[in-house]
Amino acid sequence: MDNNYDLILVGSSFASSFFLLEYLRRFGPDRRVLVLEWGRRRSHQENIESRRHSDFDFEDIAHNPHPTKQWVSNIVFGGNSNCWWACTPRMLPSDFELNSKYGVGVDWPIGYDDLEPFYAKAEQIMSVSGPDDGSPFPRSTPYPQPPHRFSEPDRVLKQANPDTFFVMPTARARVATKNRPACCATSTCHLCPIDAKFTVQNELAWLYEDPRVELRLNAKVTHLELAAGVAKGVHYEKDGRTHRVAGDLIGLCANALMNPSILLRSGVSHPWVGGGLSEQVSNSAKIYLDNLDAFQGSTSLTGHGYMLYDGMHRRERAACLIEFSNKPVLRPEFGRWRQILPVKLIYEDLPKLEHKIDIDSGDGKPRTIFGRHSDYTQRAIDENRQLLARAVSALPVESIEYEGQVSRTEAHILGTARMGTDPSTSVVDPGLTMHSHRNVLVLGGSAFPTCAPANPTLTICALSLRAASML
Amino acid sequence: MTGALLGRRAFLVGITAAGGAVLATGASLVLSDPAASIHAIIAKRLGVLTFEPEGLGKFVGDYVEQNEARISDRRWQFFRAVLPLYRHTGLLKATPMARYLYRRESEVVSALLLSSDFFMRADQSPESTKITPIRYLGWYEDNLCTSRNPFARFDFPSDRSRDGARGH
Repeated sequence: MDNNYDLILVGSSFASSFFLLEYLRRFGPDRRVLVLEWGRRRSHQENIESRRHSDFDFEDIAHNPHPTKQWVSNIVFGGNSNCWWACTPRMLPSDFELNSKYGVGVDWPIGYDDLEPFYAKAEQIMSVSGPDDGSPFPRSTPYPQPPHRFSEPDRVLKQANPDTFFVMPTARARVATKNRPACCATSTCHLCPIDAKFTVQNELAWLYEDPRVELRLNAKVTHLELAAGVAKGVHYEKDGRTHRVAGDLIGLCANALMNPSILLRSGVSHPWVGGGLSEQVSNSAKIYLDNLDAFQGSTSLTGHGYMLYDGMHRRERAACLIEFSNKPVLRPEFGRWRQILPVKLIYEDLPKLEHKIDIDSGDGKPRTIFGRHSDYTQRAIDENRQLLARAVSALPVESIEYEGQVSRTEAHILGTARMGTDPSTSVVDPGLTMHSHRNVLVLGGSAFPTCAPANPTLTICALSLRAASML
Repeated sequence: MTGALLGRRAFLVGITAAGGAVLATGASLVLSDPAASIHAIIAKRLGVLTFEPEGLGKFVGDYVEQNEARISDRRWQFFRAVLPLYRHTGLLKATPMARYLYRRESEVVSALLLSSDFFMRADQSPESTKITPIRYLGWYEDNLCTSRNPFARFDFPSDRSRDGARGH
């Protein structure tokens, strides 16, 4: 009896916490929930002082044989909510219909309208600050917090591009919340010195204190016990021993690296379990300005440019979201210190089946198999070297200098258990329940069928809220 | 006969010049510690400003310590080797090193000015720094300090109420 739960969640980051929040709201006091978290609880202060978020290095938890590609996964209570930069754009409606509209990739089995109320709810929970003068995506509610302050180049771009340039929506507080101070505009958001960005620890830790919830830390889930289309139990290691617990409903929320590895070790055999590993691709540039100072904004990243994002060009080349930075990098020229604007161009990629997670037969750890981003993405990277100048033509541009290489990671592991309506080409249904095992949910970035340029966290949270609302 | 002599002379001159260049490069690399290259950048880019000498020395030491990997990379080694050229001529601007050097200069200048009281001063003119030299405030541990950005503004433009404030 003691080992039986109504719900077992694996992981304690965004996907888990937002699902748990809605689950606890919907169900009564008799429910029993177990949360198994591989990591331990680290205080914010400990993270700051040690300049890390987890006791584990990536090599401790997985194999990545590709030196030019990096993946980020933090094993710790609260997961990647500890280290994220709190950028919270929504996906555009067209991102859900990539194939129908542009003939590339696949469509999501849900549309923007299905997710909109949950986007709004997730923004409310995170106290997101965002623009109040329009939005690139339809909204049913205003942002909970007022917008961050633009820098001067942002202001010029907004004036010239009212429909494609916006204040960046972010969970870096513009005004203090009950648990967080307002953002101080430092540029080390992964280790925010004042704990101003939303994290599970600073805003949702109370969920894990709920009397219905039992949190077991340092509990590494190895596999599920599967039989006749359902999961009977969850096996995990803690304190050098193996344990088994049973649950009516099991939610895998351990990110797109660990979710498929648990399924693969459980004997699930499906080409898309582990397949479709992807994330966005980015490159950076510095725009040198003539007699216009930058860096007056109130947070680290202030502007979002959609000038190269949506349109018929997506038939040929990837969408690109431009992030405008407010992090001071000075020109080494007297009096012109601030006449420079760092930007990052973030591209969608097309997931490939052969890019995947598999299991190392020796030690059972997940292993990444990844080649290179798609030609579709590369075409956009090449074209945008010219098009960026047009996109920012309202600025007094002296020159644009690109960084040589694409970034090694965007720290957004996606794909690996994608959602769809066809069980032969997808792992979970639109409610994130596995087609093959009807009491197992696979939450988080694993379920993404495509990889839009927008940062995925808000969508992950909205999908979790929606999945819990469908129980 | 004359042509052969000229050829031999040219060859000897060339050999001597090449040997000299190799020796000079080697000597420059041995003699210039990593701190010398940071000092050279500061002199070149911020030479018109006056810093408190002790603080400047401390900054350079901190910069070398915090950027060990960068300073020991291949291109920085080459930069150290040709430091006299950088100090006394503009020749490197015409080489493939130019872009690399500009980035490194930007990093050093950013680190020094943002770690100092320079941007807190009402008067940032070179003359005023002669009267009151710029103080190094200590290596900027950006994740331990609030606001890495001294130019950030937190007011709500247009004097609107908080709830109705606009971002631009």
